[in-house]
Amino acid sequence: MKKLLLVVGILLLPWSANAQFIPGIDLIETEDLGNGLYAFRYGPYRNIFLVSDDGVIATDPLDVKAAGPLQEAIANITDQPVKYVAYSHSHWDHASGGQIFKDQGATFVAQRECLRNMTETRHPDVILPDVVFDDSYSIQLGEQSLDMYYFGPSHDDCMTVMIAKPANIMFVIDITSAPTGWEMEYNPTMAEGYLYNMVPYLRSVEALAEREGVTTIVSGHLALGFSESGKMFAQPAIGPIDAVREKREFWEILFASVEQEMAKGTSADDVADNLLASEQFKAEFLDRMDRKNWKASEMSILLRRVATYTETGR
Amino acid sequence: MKALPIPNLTPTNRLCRGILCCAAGLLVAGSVLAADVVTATADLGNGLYLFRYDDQQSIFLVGNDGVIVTDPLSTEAAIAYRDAVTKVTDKPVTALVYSSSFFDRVAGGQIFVEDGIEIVSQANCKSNLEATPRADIVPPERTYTDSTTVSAGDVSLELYYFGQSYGTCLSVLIAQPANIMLVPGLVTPPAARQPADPTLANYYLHNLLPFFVSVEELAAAKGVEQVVGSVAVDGEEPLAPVSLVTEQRVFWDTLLRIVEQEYNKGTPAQAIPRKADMSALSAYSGYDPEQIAIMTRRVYSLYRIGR
Repeated sequence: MKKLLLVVGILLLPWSANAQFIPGIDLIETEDLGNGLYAFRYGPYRNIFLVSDDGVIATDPLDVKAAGPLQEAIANITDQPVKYVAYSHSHWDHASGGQIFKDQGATFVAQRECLRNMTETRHPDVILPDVVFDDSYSIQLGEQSLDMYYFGPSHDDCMTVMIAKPANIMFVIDITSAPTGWEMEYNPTMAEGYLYNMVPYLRSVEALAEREGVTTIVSGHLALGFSESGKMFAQPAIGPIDAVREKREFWEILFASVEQEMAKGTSADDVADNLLASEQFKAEFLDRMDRKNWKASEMSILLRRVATYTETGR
Repeated sequence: MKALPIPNLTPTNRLCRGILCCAAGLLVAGSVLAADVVTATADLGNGLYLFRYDDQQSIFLVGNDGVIVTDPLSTEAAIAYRDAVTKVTDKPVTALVYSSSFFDRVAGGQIFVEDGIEIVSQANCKSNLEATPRADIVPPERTYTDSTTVSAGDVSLELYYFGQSYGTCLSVLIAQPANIMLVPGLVTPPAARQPADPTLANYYLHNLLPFFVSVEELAAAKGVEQVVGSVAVDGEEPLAPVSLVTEQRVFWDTLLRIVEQEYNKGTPAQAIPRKADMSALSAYSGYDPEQIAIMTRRVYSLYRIGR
């Protein structure tokens, strides 16, 4: 059984028993991470919120279906209103549904490029940010703060990482996942993935964590674990900061492997077949992933995407 | 490089097709280098030439004041490219134009760089190349935002930017006075086609259809009748009617609509190829259902995440 790296108190709220996301895993879950920080999950999507005596700082409302249960989860913990909503990035599947918090008077915060993206491709369920920033921004509310940092394009072109204080836990979305960075990309075509800056971005996150003394992350998606009998279970929301380094190594090895293969004269279309048959690639890369975590057909798509990155620089 | 006899490509001889046509009537010069790399130059008329290296193509324009070259492709290609230019004219290269910032299009330009040469691109290309510099890529100096014209006496190259499309800085080029359009990477004669890369890397799908509409409007406004491609297709002539732009837009429109309809029905991304009727795409050049299935994964994200 894959070891659960960290144990957290799971606060199952009354409505969470109403539905299952997949057999054995609740659709909705709220976890108390301590020091006023909570993780909320709706299906495979997760956000965090911070509760203070002066109000609540929420993050990604996810979508219209999730925002209502999120509001309920917050109301079950505090009667304080949501005063801020911090967007991690501009993708609609994380940033929709904020109207319920806008109606409470919440101020929406995002990196500047998110505003451009959201304005360029309007979605009726996405509330535009009221406050934008370039490199970093800190939301202060009572004894809680949420520090937001931008290191350039990565999963999209406005992705921020956030550090919740005083919990000192980092919220990372889509760029790595707890408990390990050796996870297959959910969409191997890497839609809107800015591969050229993935490694520098993750290095910046590692440096930030080191500087701030962060040892724990909470990730923006549910990660599944598998017991030795093959039974699936939900990994906890939080995991070690090592997941950032692991994802950086994931990309570094992948990029280097593809580049080396193409340097032999292998075409972009043939890279995947050659690498998936390579003992060296298996030892250096594939064996570091849980076998249940990837399929050759998916890895083949990811390798094709990286081949184009090698050819074009983007 | 072995020189072949060469007439201009005129509307009449454009009707000839295939390898025989290329060998007898189209190529200014052609050869097969080491490692089976095909190089060739075609005279498209009115001072416009098409240089081919392997499966990549770039245009250059010869005017009475000098030569405008576009995308040098690579260090190896640029050597052959320069040779091809010097076989056509002894005039100096006065401008180097990048149509995008992709490494496989813009590497190798150093060989053309001399005092006084202009290196031109859309502004975002300069930013891209500054973010990921490479020793074999000469950064552009002159940039533009929406449109510009690069001249060399009696020929000129018009550059237009219509937002993110294939990359974040792709220029649509119109060579004058030939009045022939190049939409690099996105429109490839002779026929509308499925893209070669099924992951659709660097396709900015949210703006792709507006981009194509802008290109169609530009072509109509400028009276453009022919397009040339940046990718060589063996045995096919390099020019096609400008209606190819519309045909390629229809391909994208069809693919996007199929995926959007399934997304709205709640069909999971990976089930779309099984559930949707993809037959409307089967007539396109290069059609490959397995690759279309991968593309639907990418297109699904457009509706799920907005990008």
